[in-house]
Amino acid sequence: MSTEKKRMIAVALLATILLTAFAIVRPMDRHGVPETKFWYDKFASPADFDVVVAGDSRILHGIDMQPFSDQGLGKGLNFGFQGAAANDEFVDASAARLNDRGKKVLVLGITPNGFTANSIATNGYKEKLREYKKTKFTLPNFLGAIVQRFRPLALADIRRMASGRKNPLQRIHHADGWVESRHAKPNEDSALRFYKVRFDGNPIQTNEIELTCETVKERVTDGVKVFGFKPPLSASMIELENEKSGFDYGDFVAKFSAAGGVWIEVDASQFKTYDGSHLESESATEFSSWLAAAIKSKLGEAN
Amino acid sequence: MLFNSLVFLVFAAIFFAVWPRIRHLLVTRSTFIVLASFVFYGWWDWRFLFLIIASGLVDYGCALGIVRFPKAKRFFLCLSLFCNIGSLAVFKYLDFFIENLNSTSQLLSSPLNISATELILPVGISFYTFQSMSYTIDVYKGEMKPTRNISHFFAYLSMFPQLVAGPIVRARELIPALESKSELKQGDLWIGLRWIVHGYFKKMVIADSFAPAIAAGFESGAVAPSTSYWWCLVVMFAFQIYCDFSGYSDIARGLGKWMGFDFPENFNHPYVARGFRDFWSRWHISLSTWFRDYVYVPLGGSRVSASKAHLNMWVTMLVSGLWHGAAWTFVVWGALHALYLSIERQTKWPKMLEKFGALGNLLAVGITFFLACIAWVYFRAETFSQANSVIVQMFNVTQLNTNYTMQKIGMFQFVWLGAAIAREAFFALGINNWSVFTKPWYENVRVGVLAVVIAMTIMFRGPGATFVYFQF
Repeated sequence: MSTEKKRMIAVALLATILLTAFAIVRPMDRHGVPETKFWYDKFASPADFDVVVAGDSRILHGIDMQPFSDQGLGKGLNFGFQGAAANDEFVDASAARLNDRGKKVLVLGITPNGFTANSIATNGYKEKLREYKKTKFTLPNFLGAIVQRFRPLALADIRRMASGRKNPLQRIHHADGWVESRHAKPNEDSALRFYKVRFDGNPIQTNEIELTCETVKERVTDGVKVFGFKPPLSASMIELENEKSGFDYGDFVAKFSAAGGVWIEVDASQFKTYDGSHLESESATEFSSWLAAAIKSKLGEAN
Repeated sequence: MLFNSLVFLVFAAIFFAVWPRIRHLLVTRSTFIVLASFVFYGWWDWRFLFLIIASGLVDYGCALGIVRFPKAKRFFLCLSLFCNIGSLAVFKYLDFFIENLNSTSQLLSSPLNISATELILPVGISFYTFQSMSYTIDVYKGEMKPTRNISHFFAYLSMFPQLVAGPIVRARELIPALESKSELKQGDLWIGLRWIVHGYFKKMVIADSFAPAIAAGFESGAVAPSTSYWWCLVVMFAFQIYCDFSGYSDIARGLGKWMGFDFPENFNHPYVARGFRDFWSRWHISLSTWFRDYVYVPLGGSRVSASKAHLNMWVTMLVSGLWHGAAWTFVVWGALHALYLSIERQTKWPKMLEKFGALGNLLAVGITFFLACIAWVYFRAETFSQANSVIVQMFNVTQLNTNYTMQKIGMFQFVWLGAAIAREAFFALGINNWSVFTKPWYENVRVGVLAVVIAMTIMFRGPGATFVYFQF
């Protein structure tokens, strides 16, 4: 064998050893359904759900679908995506997951961030969709769990690897689309840093609000019961968003209601977030139970 | 098919498993290259294979016609140019033309309102049409004989490593290599591996890590009120496009090397250039030499009066800008480079700075990079007005707003930016020429370095995906 072939084999062997070592010592903060399967199932989900709750990361982390079926609302899907825009395309994609047999309940978690220019442009939902379209296959659970160990490392992962500490934020991916978040050191002010500058040069797109409400109207005409709510946040986050986002909830609720949507008022003070923006595990389940009950009651009123 | 996809790794594994067995059978290997390349291209959209085949058949036939019917050689050349430029015009520039026609008619108070065709832009069309055109032009100029073997011609035209984003390989270099038994030289596999590994690192770690921040900055439409943010973003874009494109070229050259073909160097550390003449001898070399040989020189080049030479250079740069994209922002990008080159020709400022030794040279590198960054803003901006607003913001010293920058750009992105700059400095300072790197034992150190780079590429890959230059 030539020297260069020997060298190439040595490179391959060394790289394999290094990668295996990385994969073994890396801190794992993802549990439950492997991510490849989690996202595949979310996108590949057929029109087979009675209730779909859609929105950005506040929904992804904040809505447990189990209480919805416990309340008799049927089979539920959490259609939340990090950085999802609340635009017409997303509302349509969410409604497309509803079956014709059930109650056809679409619940939209509305956040100012969902209507910013940046979110509309980069749209976390479409980003994930592109990723899904690219691979379009799922891996068996055991392979998915291995692939998970080769996820790109973040700077924080390296710090943790160096210090031997675990990630205080543990995520559990559930088959119904919920990412349960457990934080060992919750700090309700930690996300403020991000949101303080989030709206600078990143205005709310009022035309997108109009388009979303127009789509809500169309879906209501199709027989879908559309509900909307503001996900619970810490008091300081609410204050910050009111001050900086330029999003007028009153105006939105008026337009949403005029389009046939039903708005549910939420008392945010009852629920705890781990960073000011996302509900921690227990509060997510409590809030989901409360939301499911509120929807059930509204559906009862309507009947 | 993307180089940075699992499916390509499977494809390449199959290709290089078969290749050593057929590499000495000239026609068989050319046919194999064509079939493999069609699978590679057709994976994206098989319908556009017909465009490559049609374009190839026209140029193959025209080249033979030029030799067989010398009196009609001009006709055959024009036919080839018409078909190649025609397909580019239809797929790439038609909507741009319609848009401008509509705007002009509106200004003249007789609006036309022609609907855009919204045709899909075939991936790599600008690359393979240029490659194909150069073949007939070279045959027309008598610089090469046409090949009679259609499989060799199509292997040249469609060779998958460089089909969709270059380097643009000249027919007079590659077709003779396809027609002869090219032996793998000692060290080719090793050099190829090094290029491929470094190419993947540049693309998947550096360019892809910058991609989301840059997209968020430019695609929101609004211009964030922070001077430091825009400077960081523009410098990041300078390195994103460089690492993305040169990474692709490195992978292509490495794969070519493994096949026994030498593709030309496409990038030679452009950000250590001292002046723009130097920059263009280092940036996208295969395209700039193409424009030099097939546009600038036929126009008269610099063997004419000074003013005509300036004009020739401006025309070449504007066409080069338009080659990159059907938008005025690209034309402005080309115009800015033409302006930089004109000023340099008149003032010879890099030569003047050279007199101040190392400090002068460093200053020349800094000035060139600074001006290149200004031009990149037009290249990346979504609209002309956004580009202008970004430029204004970049010079707004009252709004440094570093807090905003630290929030929007992650620490890792700064780390990779530092690594990319350090890499260029490594070559700028000539560290790569230190004798230690030429010692035989250093090749063994390289084994460790390459293994670490592979592991880092997998573990630190960024979220970007497609190659930036595919859109051209």
